[in-house]
Amino acid sequence: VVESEHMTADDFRADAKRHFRWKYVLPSGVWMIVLLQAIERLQDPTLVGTPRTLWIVVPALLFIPAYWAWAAAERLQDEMNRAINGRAAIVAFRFTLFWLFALALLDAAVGLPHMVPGPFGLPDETFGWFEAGFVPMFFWMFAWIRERRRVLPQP
Amino acid sequence: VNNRVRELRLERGWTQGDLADRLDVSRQTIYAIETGRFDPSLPLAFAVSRLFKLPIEKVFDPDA
Repeated sequence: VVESEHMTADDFRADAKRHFRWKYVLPSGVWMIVLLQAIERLQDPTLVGTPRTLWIVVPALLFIPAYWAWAAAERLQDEMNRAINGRAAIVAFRFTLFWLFALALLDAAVGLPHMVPGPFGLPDETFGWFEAGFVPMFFWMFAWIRERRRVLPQP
Repeated sequence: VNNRVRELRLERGWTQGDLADRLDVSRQTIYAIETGRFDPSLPLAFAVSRLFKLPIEKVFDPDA
């Protein structure tokens, strides 16, 4: 009789049996492999034109099935694991904000390279670490509105 | 919320894994419920009480 609070080999096997589906693992794996390849290829300055654009666009598009797979895998988890994931995401979100705004402070103090400089036509001062800190907050706001509308349907 | 899940499970001679399989949750979830570290949702609480063929308030004590 297993009564331990720790995950045993049997627990891992049972969880894997309950949750593991190739159709959820594959999209994430493909996305990560293509992304790593793209990062490698895009460092080559001789890669120009359509191939360069494709190496930027394809990993971005492959994120869509990967996102779907994460959401689907999350639904397969039982409620305790979903609760743990949710609480962990809340803590991680707060630390992400802290990290970005700490970088903004460091940037103001000593100057740091900005995430989105020249190539997109934005001057350096338009999108610094301070502005980057607001991006996850906007994501949170959209997710909050979506969830609230799901729970409380609008008239 | 206190509960009698562990007591009821042992009466039936089930392991945590057996109960987890019957409820389609992980054994860790059963452990967490039995030790009071995790309160199950209403659907899961009803599933537990149905499995033990008891009213929900005989399994989970809301006053604790």
